[in-house]
Amino acid sequence: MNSKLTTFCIYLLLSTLLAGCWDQVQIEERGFVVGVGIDIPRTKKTEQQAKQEAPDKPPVKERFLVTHQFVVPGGLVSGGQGSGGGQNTANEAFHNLVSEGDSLFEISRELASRTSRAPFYQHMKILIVSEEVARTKDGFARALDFYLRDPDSRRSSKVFISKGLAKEVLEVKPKTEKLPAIYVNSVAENNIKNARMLPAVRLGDVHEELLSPYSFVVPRIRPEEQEVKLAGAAVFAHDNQLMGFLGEEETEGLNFLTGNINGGMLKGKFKNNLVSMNIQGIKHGIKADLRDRQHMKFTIEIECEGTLAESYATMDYLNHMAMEKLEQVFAEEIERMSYDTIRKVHNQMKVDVIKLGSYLKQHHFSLWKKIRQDWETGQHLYEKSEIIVQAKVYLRNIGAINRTERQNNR
Amino acid sequence: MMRRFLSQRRQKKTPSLIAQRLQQRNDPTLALSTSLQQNMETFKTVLGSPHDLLTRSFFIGNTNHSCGVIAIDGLANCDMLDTQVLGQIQLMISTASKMVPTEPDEIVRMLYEEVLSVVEISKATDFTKTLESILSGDTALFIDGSAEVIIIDSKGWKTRSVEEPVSEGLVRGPRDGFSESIRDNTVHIRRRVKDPSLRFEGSIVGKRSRTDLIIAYIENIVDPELLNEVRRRISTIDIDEVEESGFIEQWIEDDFLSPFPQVHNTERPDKVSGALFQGRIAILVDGTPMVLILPVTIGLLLHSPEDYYERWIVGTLARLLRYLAAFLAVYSPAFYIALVTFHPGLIPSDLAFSIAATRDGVPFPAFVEAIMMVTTMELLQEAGLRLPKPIGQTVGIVGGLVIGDAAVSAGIVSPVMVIVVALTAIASFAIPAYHLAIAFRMIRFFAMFMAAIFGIYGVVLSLIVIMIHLSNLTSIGYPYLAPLAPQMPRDWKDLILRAPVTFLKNRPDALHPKDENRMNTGGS
Repeated sequence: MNSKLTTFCIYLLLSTLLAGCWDQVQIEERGFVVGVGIDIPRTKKTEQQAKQEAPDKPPVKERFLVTHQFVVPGGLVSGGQGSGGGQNTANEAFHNLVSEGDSLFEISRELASRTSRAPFYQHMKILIVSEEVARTKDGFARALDFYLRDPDSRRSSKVFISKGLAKEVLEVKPKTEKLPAIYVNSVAENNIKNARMLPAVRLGDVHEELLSPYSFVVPRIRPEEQEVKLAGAAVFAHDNQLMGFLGEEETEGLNFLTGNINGGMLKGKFKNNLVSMNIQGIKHGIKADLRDRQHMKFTIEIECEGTLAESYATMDYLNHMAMEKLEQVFAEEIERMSYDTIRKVHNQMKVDVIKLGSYLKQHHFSLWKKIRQDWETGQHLYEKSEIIVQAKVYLRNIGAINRTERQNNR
Repeated sequence: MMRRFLSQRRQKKTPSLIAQRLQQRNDPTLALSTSLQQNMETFKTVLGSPHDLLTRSFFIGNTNHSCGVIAIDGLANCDMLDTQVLGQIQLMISTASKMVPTEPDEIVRMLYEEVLSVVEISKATDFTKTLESILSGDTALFIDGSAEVIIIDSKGWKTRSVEEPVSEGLVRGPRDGFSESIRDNTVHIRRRVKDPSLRFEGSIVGKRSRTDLIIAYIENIVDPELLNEVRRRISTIDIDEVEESGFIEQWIEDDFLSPFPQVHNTERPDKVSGALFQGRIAILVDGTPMVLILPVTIGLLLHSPEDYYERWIVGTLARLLRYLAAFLAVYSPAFYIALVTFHPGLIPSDLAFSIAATRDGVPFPAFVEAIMMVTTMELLQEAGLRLPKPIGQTVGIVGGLVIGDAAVSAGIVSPVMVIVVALTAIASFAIPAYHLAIAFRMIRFFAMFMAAIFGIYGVVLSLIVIMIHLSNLTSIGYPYLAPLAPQMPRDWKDLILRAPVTFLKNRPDALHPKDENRMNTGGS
């Protein structure tokens, strides 16, 4: 019995060697990819070169130009002191590798032949798809397929549509952060301060939308030399193709319509003077009149709460009549922006990014089951519906002072 | 397995070595004779007339009946012999003008009953018994013409004074600790437990060392089965010498292959009395301040008496901290290895990048790095323990500097590793039971190996292996993980949490105490 036990133990110990530590890669040998930008190649040069090397290869439809942003950890250590890793003379904390190909997986593997640190996607923060790619038929879904399928990448990566080249977003040189991708990632979280930004959309969210037969929005990003501008939204139709963009104010209107506002500001004119308020939160509700299916009537009620942030109009705000008038000004402003957005997405683009469909699904499911095919497509019930916005503003506070200067000449 | 092994051992109690030798020789001269001269000679030859043997013969009062004392110098209290024995016999009889009988046996009776003003005194006729008494510090008084010996208890060697326990310091709580003298130690316990049913069961272990051993328990609390099992195991002990209670511990433990201690030891009397009140048994061994407590549960090892002395919130938080420390002491290097080599995706991005940055240029994989650092730390700990205090500090400084700073700037290890190792060391010092901390140190290496081979999966595997072992482990037949496995929800208020004292109505169920209630109002 004892010798049997010994043999068993030996086998057990040996079996641990079989594992061979196959997943073992030291942390400093991984190429952390923090951001990926997907473009369409501008020139045919690489394609032709590939053709020369393998003339019998069948031609392909899509070609992508993918920019991977790798972290150079040595550059992150302040002053690059200590081990000083790498021969990075500029002491930059990132390293962009651009590669072209017809398959994103191929590109990813091709990178391994160019860098000492094979790409590792678990820390990928942002994924940027250029407008061009998104405009092609199924281009958006095809560009994301690899990242959705690869178990190594995370569904929490944020997705953006770039106006212009995606590559340029990853090449901005922000002053505050060492990594452009981390910079963009942090900017995307500022929607609590700015209502003109769409809340960040994660890769997983996009996947859900791609699977559903309805339209959706993805934040828009515009690269500049030292910074990016993250405002506006890219509108995708129910066939997952980019239809167009919403501007900054239209995005704000959309945020009011969907209730996706965590903070921000509102401007208004009071007695021809500028006043602005700091939004501290909104309450959002939808009422639907569904008696006539061909002409459904939705009333979106927005209750916005905030404080007075700025006022060029000199008056006594402690008077509640004045405040009520002021509240009215802001409410009208909300309604104006909302109607502007409705005009664009409802009348022109005819896409349900206000998510009235999902409201019906949640609150009137029996009806929704019958009309889900005819909402954005088929009978186009969405198009035929009517949307009314009712805004109400509560100014809770006038700030620390009442007047800035003496009331003029009175 | 161990249980079977124990029961197969010889049950019969071996007679003492001296008696054995006497039987073998069957020497008629080694019996007590009526002649004083001969008796003295016999003892001298048996003991080889050592340097520390005290012999003295003198006359009783002003008669010419001679008598003699034999004692071991240093073991026996000479002052006490001078005044209470020699003084009484030589002077008191004459001043009290007592009639000294002529019959030697009558003299013995008179001395025994009237003259000697000593509390502990007995008569013997057996040579072996007399010899043993002399060797343990008693004085033998021979009267010429009688084969009876009066044995006077004169134990009075130098003992260490009561000092603060070195290995178990507390902020709040009594400062006295056990010492090497078993008598002092029973005093410490007796002073705390005035319960009349406190029992000290004495026996002698060690064929040559003849060490005193006392099983202490409170009779109407302790589980009789536990008591019988402890008695049985003690009776199987068959060794030459018992220098420390560790010999007893290792002889009676359930599983000698387990890294976990199955018998607790302490030098705090308050801990022992607390354990006795819970229904545990203490074993005191002469010559060591370390008193054994059994049976052991994992809770006992991770609790400190201070948990009870401080208010319950403090006690509970301290316990939570200690359980956390136990986890960190075992698993922090393993987690470091697993995360850094297998799952960098689980580390927050910024931290992952900075770990990668600091590890840039470190020539070893994380596992080798960790093994190196942890081994060095063990070396430092061992070296610091052995060295006298002034030099020990130097080791700490040199070791700390070399490892903490020089190794990092030389690029041999990464700074994060230093933090992990330091955290591990500190966490293992936070565990109140030193022998449990040693067990954790061993398991740490096992966990590190598993982490290096399988990553987090291996860490979890190692946890499962340890848990399986722990739930199989028993201490004197009582489950080690009680009251977690088997579940005893009533005991949970004194495990990870320490409920307010007014809530602790019952003694631990795990010990099957005879008297479950700690309060007169009665518990649930």
